[in-house]
Amino acid sequence: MRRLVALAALAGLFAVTGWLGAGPAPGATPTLVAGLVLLIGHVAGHAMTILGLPRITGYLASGLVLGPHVLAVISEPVGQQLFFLNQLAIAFIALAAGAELHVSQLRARAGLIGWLVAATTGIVLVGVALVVFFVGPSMLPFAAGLTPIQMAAVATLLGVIAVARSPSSALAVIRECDAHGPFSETALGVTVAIDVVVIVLFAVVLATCEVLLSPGAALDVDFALSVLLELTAGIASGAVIGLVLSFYIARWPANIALLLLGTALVVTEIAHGTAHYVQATHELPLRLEPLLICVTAGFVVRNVGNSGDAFAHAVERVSLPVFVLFFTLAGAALDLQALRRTWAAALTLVLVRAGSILGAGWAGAAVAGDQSRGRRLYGCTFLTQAGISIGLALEVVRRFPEWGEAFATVVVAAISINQIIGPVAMKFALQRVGEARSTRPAA
Amino acid sequence: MKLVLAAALVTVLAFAGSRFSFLRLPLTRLSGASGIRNILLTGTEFLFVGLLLGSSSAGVLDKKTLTGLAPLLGMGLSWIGLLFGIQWQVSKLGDSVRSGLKPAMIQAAVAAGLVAVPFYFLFRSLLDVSDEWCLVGALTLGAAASDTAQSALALVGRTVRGESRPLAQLLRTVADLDGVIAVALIGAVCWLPVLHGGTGSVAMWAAMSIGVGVVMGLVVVALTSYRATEDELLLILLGTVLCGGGMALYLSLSPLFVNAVTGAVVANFARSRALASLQSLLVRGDRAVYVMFLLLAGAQWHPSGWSVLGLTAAYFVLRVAGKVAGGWLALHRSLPAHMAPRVGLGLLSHGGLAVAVVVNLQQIHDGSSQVVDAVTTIVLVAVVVSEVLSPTLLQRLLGTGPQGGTA
Repeated sequence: MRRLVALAALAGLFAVTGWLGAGPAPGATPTLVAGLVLLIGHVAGHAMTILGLPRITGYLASGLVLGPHVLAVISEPVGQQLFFLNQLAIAFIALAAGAELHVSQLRARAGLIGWLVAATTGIVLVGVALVVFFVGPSMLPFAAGLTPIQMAAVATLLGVIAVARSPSSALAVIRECDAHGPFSETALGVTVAIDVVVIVLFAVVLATCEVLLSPGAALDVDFALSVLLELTAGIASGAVIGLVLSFYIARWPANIALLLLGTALVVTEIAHGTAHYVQATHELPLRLEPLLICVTAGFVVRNVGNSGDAFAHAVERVSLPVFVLFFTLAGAALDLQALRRTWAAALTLVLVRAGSILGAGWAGAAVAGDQSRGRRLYGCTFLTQAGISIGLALEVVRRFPEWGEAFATVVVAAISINQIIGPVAMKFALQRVGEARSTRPAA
Repeated sequence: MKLVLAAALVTVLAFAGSRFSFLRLPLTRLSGASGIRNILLTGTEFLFVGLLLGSSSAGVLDKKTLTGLAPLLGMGLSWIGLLFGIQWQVSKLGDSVRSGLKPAMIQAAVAAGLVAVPFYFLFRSLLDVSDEWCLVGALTLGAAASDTAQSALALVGRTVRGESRPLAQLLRTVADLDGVIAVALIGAVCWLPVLHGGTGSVAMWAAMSIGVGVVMGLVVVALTSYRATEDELLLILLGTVLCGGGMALYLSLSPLFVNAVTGAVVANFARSRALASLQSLLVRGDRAVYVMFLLLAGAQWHPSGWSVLGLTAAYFVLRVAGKVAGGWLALHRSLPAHMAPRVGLGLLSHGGLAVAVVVNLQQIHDGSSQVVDAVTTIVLVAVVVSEVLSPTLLQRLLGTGPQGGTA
C-alpha cells in the first residue's frame, strides 16, 4: 500500500513538473526519466511478486506502460538518450553471467550441458523450420509470393533465431530467486553456450541461404571468416580483460563495482568502434559482441586467480539497479505495433518454439541420463529470448531487403511475447525444482 | 562513441582520484609544503585535469560531450545535496552541534553578505548584463563564499595539541554546519524568475523547490518502510538521486537544495536501519562523486581572461574579510580576546560545496550570460588559492606546524 502511495506521489509530482515545462538544463529529462524508471520499476517488481510472478515481468510491464506506445514518458528521443545506459547494462549483465559460471561445477555437468545444447539446438531448429516451411505460406504475411527455396531459407533462418536465448533474463530470474544448485547452474551454462552456438550457426545458415536465393552467387567466404574472427577475437579479448581485472582486483579490492561499470562502458564502445572501423576500411561485417567479450571476462575473473569471490560479490551488489534499468527500457522498446500487425504468426512461432524447447529439454536430459528432479523442467528455463535475436533479425534485413523487413517484424513480435512468458516459466521451474530461496529447505 | 568513452574516462579518473586523493598520501613526503599537499589531498588537482581535458584545452570533454554527460553532473549535485541533508537528524544533533549552529550561521551569513553586496554593484558597473543576472551572480558568489571546507582542518587538525584542541573542535563544528547558508542561498538563487524565463514568482518557485524535496523524501520514507536488502536500498537511492536531481534541473531549480530537503525529510522520518544504510551508501560514493565533479567543473570552465583576475582578487579579499568579521561577530564571546579577531582565518578553506554551487549555476543557466563564466573563474581560482593558503593560516591560528611537531 505504501509503495502504491509512493507511486501515486511520484506520478503527481511528474505531472506537475511536466505541466510547468522544461528549463534549459541539458540532460534534465533523461536524468529524471532514469530516476523514474528505477523507482517505478522497483514498485512494479514488488507488485509482481505478490502475484507470484518474477520481478522482471514487472520491470518489463512498467517499461511497456512508460514507453512510447502508452504514456510516452520514455519517448523515442529519451529512449535514444538513455540508449548508452542500455548498452552499458548489457555488458555489465554479461560480466555478471560470466561470474556465475564456475568451471569446476560446469565440468562436473559437462555431459548434461552438452546434450542439452545439442538437443535444444537441433530439435528447435528443425521443429520451427519444418512448421514454418509447411504452414508459413498461409501464416506469414510476406510468404505468399515466395518460391519453395526462398521459403526454406526463411524457415531455416527463423529456426536458427528461435534457438537464441536471453542470458540477461535468465540471470535476472536466478538472482531474483536467489537460486543456487545444479539445475540453475546448468540452465545458465546452457543459455550462455547456446548464444555462442547461435552466432556460428547463423553465419553458416545465412551464407548458405544467400547462395540458394541468389542464382550464381558463390559462398561468402569473407563472411564466414569474419564470423570466425569475431568469435576468436571476442573470446581472446575477453580473456585478456578478465586476466587484467583479476590481477587488479586481487591487489586493490575496493570500489570494484565502479571499476566494472567503467570496464563495461569501455568494452562496449571499443567493440562497436572496432566493428565500424573494420567495416569502413576492409568492408568486413565484423561484429565484436560485447556480450561474448564480457561473459568471457567474467568467466576468467571467476575462475582464474583468487579474486573470483570479491568480483562476484561486487557484481551482485550493483546488479539490481542495472537489471531494473535494462528490463524497463527493454519493456519500453517492445514493439506493440509489430505485435498488433503480426500477432497470429508471432503467436504460432512462439508456441512452436516453446513446444520444441520443452521437448528438447526433456530429451537432452534423458539422453544424458540425468535422474534429477528437474530433468523434465529444463525446457522451462530456455524460453527467454531477447537481445541477440534482434541483432540476427536485423542482419537478415540487411542481407535480404526484399522480405527482410517483414521477417524482422514477425521475429520482434515473437520476441516480445517470449520476453513476457520466459521469465515466468523460468521462475516456475526454479521453484518447482526447489532451488529458489523461497522453496529451498532451511540449512 | 566519444560520449561513452568520455564517460568511461571520467569514471576511471573519478575511481583513481577517489583512491589516491583525500588524505591517503603519506603526509611525510610533502612536509613543509602543506598548501600543495592540501591541494593533492583534497583532489583539487582534478580541476586542472578537467581544464586540460575540456574544450579550452585538449577538447576531449568538449561542449557536446559535456552536454551528454550532464546527467552525471545532475546526479553528482543531487548526491551531495542528499548527503548534506541526510545528516540533519534533529533527534541526534548533539550539544556541540546545537551550540555551534548559531555561530556557524552568523559567520557564514556575514561572509555571504560581505561578498554578495559589493559584487552586485561590481557586476552592475563592469558587466553588460541585466540587474537580475547581476543579482544571480552576486548571490551565487555569496553562497560559495559562505561555506568552509573541511580539508584544511582535517589536515592541520592532526597536529593540534593542548589548549588549541577546543578551538580546533569549534572550528570543525562551524565548518560542518555553515554549508546550510550555501545550500539555502543557491536554492534561493534558483527561485529568481530570471532563471525561469521570467515566469512565475519567487514564492511559487520556492514552494516548488521545497515541495519536490519533501515529496521525494516521503517517497523514500515509504519505499524504505519495508525491510529492504542493501541492493534494494541502492536502487532506491539511485532512483531518488536521479529523479530528484532530474526534476530540479528540469524546473531550473537547485538539485543541491531540493535533495538537501529530501535528505532532511529522510533523516527525520525514515526507519533508523534504512537511514543508517542510506547514509553509509552515500558516504561510500562521496569521494568518487566529488572527483567526477571537479573534473567536469574543470572541463566546463572557460577561464574568462585576465580581467576577471581583478574580480577574483576582490572576491578573495572580501571573503577573507567576511570570514574574519563573521568569525569575530559569532565567536568573540566564547573565545579569548586575542584569538577572536583572528578566528576567521581558520575558516578560509574553500572546496566541495563551493564548486557544487558553481556547477549548479552552470547547469541551469541558459548560456546567454557572461556572469556565469565570470563566477566560475572567480570561484575556481579562489578555491585553488584558498586551498594553498588556508592550512598555513590555520596552523598559525592553532599554533601548530612544523615547529609544533606532529602528533
